[in-house]
Amino acid sequence: MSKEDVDADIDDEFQAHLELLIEELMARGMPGDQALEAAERRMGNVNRWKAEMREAEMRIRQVKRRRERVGYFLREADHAARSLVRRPGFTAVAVLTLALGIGATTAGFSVLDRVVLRPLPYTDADRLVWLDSPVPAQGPDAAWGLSVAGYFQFKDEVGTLEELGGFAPATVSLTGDLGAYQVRGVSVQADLLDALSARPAFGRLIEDEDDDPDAGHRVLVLGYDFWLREFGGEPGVLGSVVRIEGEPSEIVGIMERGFELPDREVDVWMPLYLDRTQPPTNAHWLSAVGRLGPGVTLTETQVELDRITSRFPELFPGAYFPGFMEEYEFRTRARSLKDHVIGPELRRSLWIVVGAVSLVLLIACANVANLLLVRTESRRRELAVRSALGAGRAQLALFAMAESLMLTIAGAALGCLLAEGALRGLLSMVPAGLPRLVEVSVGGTSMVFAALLSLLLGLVFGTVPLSGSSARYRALREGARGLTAGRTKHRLRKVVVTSQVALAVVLLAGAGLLLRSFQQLREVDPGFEPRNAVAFQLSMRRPHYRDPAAAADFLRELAQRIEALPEVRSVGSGEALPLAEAGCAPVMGEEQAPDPGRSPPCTEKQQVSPGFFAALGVEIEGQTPSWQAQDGGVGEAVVTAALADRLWPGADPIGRGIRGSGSAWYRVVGVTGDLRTQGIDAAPTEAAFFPLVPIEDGPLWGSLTTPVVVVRTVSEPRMGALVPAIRRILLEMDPTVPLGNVETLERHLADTPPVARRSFMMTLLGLAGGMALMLSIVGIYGVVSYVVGQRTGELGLRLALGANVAQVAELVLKDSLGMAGSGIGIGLIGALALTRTLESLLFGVSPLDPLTLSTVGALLLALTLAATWVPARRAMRIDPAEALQAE
Amino acid sequence: MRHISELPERVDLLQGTLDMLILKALNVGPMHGYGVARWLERVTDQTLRVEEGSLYPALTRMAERGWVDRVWGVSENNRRARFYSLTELGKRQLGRETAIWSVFSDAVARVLASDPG
Repeated sequence: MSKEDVDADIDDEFQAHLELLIEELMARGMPGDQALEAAERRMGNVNRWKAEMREAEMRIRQVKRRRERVGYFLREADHAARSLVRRPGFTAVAVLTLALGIGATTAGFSVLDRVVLRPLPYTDADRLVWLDSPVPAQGPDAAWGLSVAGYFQFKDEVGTLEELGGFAPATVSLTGDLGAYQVRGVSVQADLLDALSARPAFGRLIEDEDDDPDAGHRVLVLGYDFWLREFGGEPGVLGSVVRIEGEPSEIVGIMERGFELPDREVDVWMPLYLDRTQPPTNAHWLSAVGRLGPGVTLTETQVELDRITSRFPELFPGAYFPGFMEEYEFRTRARSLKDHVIGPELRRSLWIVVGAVSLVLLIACANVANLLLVRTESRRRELAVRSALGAGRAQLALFAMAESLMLTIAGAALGCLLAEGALRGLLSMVPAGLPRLVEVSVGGTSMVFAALLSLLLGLVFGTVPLSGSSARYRALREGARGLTAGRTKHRLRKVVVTSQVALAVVLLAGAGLLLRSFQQLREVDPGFEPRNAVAFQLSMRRPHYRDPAAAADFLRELAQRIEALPEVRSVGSGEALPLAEAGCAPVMGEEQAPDPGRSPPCTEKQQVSPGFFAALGVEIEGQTPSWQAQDGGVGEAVVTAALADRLWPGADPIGRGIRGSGSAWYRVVGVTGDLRTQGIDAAPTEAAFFPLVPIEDGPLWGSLTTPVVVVRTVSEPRMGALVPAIRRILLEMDPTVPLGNVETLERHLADTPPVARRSFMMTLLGLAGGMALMLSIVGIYGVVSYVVGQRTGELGLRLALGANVAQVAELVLKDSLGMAGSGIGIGLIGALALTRTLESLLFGVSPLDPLTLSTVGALLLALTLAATWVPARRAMRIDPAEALQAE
Repeated sequence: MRHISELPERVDLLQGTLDMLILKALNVGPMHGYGVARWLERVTDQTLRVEEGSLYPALTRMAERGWVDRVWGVSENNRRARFYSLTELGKRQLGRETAIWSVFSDAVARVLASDPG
């Protein structure tokens, strides 16, 4: 109603009143003109109150309109809800499909959000930086820590850092009332806790004065979880004394709940003593975290670090030579702490996962769009009637919108549940060493994400039925008659299915390549036998064991006693398991001409007992060093084939001389096969194995006090019997020696990053690919059977005119094969372009691997045929008479 | 009987009081604006005169608040006129205002009847 109408109404009302008044006055005997005058006088300032009324009227209109609009929407929503309930099949399929797509995307987003997008759990975490020393000469990702000298120099000179704190994590033995065990410890400078803004839950933290070794009083702070677990959350432990590595230390505080090192969990925090007065050394073992000053950028700090590091040779002439700086391309780097914790590899993997689930969502959306198209098609007459009855385009759009929003919101709600379930399942198989993943669940942010996604999709889908709505009136006139549906109407559907197939091909190609990599990786011979072996770590901290011979005696007796257990085949000790961090030394061969300019490269070396190789299942050509060699009497060593090839190419290494540090030569008595200890996706390792006790004038390395012990069993190790038996032996031999990190070699191998990362990614992409495959097959099936249904009349006519059944089947097949064929083609091209992003995860297979790509293509083709089979059979059974009558 | 034009100077009605009187008038039955004014004059024996300038804005306001419904009809003299009737909401409002009014007028009456000393 317009403003003019409002005015007219007011005027009418006014006029009626005026006339009634005049009539009454005249009825009382007043002459007409006087009555008019009197009445007008009585009415007062008409314009003022009319204006007042008009304003109120306009407000009434407005409220009414608003109410109408809401009612209108509610009515359409109600209508939409009823029409969804009337077709439970359609609704269920659409909601489930959307739930799969939205659920997958939400799960992916949750992981990305938690791991990559969110800040680390520290105050002002974006100002925290990680300092290290990249050595590109040793590999693109190789990086050392800081040297003590460098650390103090940076503390003194880098003005852009507010705080800088060093630390050194180490597994240590803790002896309390409950016996000795190994705990995850870290020695920290008080400055580190300041930089990370740590607070104690009880007591106090490590302070500057604590790191004075002369104080004669050692302190430690317990991690909150460790305190709960091992001390029952008893605050009374403050002030009590436990032994760390045999040294009495007082518990002075409990760390704030949930506070951990950025890249690992900590049971025990201890002071780190750094002696500045010692001569500087080129040893980079110190980890360090700094806090940028307010408003400072990383680049400014980097410039300062570069300037100071370039002066190292003049600052520390005994430790840093210009040649070293050049050879190792040595520098100091500052990175944001988050970059360090997450690492480029994980970040890339997660983005790949998010990309994959987005493709799944696209495929799901394509299915729903097709469903909606089909549905709109089947409702053409209903819509045409409604629009003929005066429903405007806007009203029909509102109806469609309400319907699609209901579908997407229901899909999102169900999707969130699916995502939560999927995340729980995935987290149980997350490999160790993927940071920040343990805490992932569908939280508030993810729900908001899913809600926004559902709104967006709802709005998009709401427009689907509108496409081509101009044809609607015509539909009414046509009476929807006609034997063939227009070709253009099917074209859109076919494009949707084709792109679906293409997306599925891309995803499956990615998953397939990872699967092949994983297989290849499985087939790599690591050089040792992971089956039927158990490994554990010892910590021999009594001063007695600082004598290498004493340590060797202990290990020898231990080996003999474990070997006496039933089912045990052999026992050996060494410094580290293959695929774990091992030490290195400048190993030289006897006939090797020393390169004057360069120090010999640091080659992996281990001190091992004779049984080590047999226990690991490493084949030896020649002999293993004898126990006589272990006693330091005879210098016998074993080298890997790769090291032998480098030191004495083409010659027999047996009997040749080799040395680590020190001047005396060992004789090579045995050669291993190719042994991969630095990752089974890496080249065979160059490594040398020396006896436990050094020979006279031999290397300076000391006693092996934290050995890893490997026990090979006859068959699958029965951990439940074996481990307690070993514990008993240890208790009898020396109760102060704790046993830790018990695991089977198989588990150890599966947990190493190259295997774990790939199997995790393979699972994720496999899941995404599986969903994609399923959804696109459902899509093909849906469209083909719809088209067959639409063409019943046409096909019936053809049969009536003498076409045979095979020709009809061919028509149907041609349709679906056309869609699948072009989809597979486009998908393969897309896969060629996209699988490159996986390159760093692939192993032994090219991103363009023809076997994988052709398998994926063939798989989709086969499944398309299967999906077409049912509707094709239906087409073949059409009864011409019935089909034509139905029209 | 006094002539309309000879009525005493208009008595200013408090806003709420006018609303209450209109509601009371409509409680009798649906009527148009003129009818409301006439009814009030009749039952008060011409003592209360409602000014048109207050009556119509008040009716519109009450329509806005949902106290009255409005429909177009034909008046006694065959003119197009708007008829007002009470809604449920309006009836409840009338009850409320009547209750308040009786408390109020009681109090005023007691003040006026009180001993000056």
